[in-house]
Amino acid sequence: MKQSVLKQFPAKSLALSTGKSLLFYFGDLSLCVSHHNYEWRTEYSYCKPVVGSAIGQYGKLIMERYAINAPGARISLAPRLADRAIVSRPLAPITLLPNSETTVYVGTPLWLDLKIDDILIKELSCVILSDTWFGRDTLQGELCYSTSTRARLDAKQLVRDSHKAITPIVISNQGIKSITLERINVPVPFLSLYQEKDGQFTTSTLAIVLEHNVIDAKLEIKPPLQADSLKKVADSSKPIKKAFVYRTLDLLFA
Amino acid sequence: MNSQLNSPTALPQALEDLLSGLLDHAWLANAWRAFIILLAGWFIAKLITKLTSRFTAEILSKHHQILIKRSLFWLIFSLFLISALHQMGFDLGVLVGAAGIVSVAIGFASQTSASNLISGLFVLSERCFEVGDIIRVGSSTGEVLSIDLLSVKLRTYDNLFVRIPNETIIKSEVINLTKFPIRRFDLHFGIAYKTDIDQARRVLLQVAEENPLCLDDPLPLILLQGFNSSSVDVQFSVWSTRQNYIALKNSIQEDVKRAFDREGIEFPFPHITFYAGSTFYTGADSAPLPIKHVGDSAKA
Repeated sequence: MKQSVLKQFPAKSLALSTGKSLLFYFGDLSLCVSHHNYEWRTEYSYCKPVVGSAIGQYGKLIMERYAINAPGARISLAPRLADRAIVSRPLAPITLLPNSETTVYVGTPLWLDLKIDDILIKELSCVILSDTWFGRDTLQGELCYSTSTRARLDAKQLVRDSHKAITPIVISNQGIKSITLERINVPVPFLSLYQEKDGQFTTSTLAIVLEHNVIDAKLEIKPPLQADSLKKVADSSKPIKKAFVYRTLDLLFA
Repeated sequence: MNSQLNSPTALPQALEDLLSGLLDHAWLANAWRAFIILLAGWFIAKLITKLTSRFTAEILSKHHQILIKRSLFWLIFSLFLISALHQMGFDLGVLVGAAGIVSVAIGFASQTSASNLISGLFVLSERCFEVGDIIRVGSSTGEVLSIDLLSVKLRTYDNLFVRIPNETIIKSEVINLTKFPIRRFDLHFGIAYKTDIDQARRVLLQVAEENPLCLDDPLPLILLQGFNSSSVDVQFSVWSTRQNYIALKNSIQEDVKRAFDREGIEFPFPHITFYAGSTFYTGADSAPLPIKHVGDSAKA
């Protein structure tokens, strides 16, 4: 079977005739999409891809079949953000002093939408993420994904990674007490995804204002800086509700 | 009087009197009115219950809806029934008196059922579990199929049907295994005394980190429970979503076993060291019993 290899998202949908397959590397994900008679197959595994290795040689291989009888079917691969909030744990906690403002850059892994003839058939993340619980206690909260982050404060030090989206979080502490960020709940489903000219993905900017009492926080989602030079790739998957805007501090940080 | 009844014309006359009584216009009119009242009552009760279920569809569970529908229907219909009986000319005071006596008799006879009925109302109002939850009552664990007036029905994991009277539910401890979104699994085991505890802790945390079903937060917990005769007892607690609890319970135990085998950490088994020597055990002075082969046993 003739195979093509892709290492970045194609700009447009691709035609894949019968007997051909497409191999796509995306972070830890190795995905092979093949077109057979009366069916399409996906085979994927999660591992650090080794050059020249067969897919599934390292890591468990998962194969799925889709009965689609459309000889001229086109496939499209599109990036998007996660379907749940992501709790990022800085490698070292950051303390924000009273009456100060800073911007923290957090990277969150991207997801991939695989469509055949505009029908969504598979959603895959670029890495396997752990689940975590984020909330006041074990009774109230939400199920999130968990990652770690360097939480850089200097945009020039950001490492370009085509499998992650950078979220700038502008935090303004208007209270009288310092705030230590040990975990940050990034409400990813409410953010839009953009792409810079060099291929780096970025999201809407999250602006958090910590009120005087340092218990309540006001959230605002703004377009990214230099939005004019960015290409919008995907809208937010969830609409922003009024109740979302005001949250207590323990629902954002911990 | 007897002679009148014995006369050949007495029976037809009595029949004629009865028939004329039955066909009395006033009585017939009352009967028709009562019938119309009952019919109207039935339709009105049906209409009201339908409207009620439509309004409560989003607020209440299906079970509560059925309960309210039935109760409301019979309440409304019984009002129309009383009105119909009154129309027919029945003295309701007599009925009430008779009903009082009957209810006392029924009450004595159905104490348990009444207790279950009232307990059922309390169970419903408390809402400590709902249809679909997994609960444990005594030695029975299962999925709640229905919460009825007299009992709660469960389906156990091995597909058995269990009926638990509501009175038992009210009186005993009920554990709802699916009330909260996340759940902790506690694994108790022992490690050998010679094991490096820090190494064991590192290995266990690594196992938790690599298991995708294990939540990163709340953090896994490792507690030393005590020093047993053959082992150091450890509790390893990890969290998962309630849907993944069984899968985590299976996988984490396998992962711990494999990781311990790989790292050379021993799961101890009970064993006794026996010291014997010329004196009672005094530590270094004792020597083990010498065992020497002296010969084959003589054949019989």
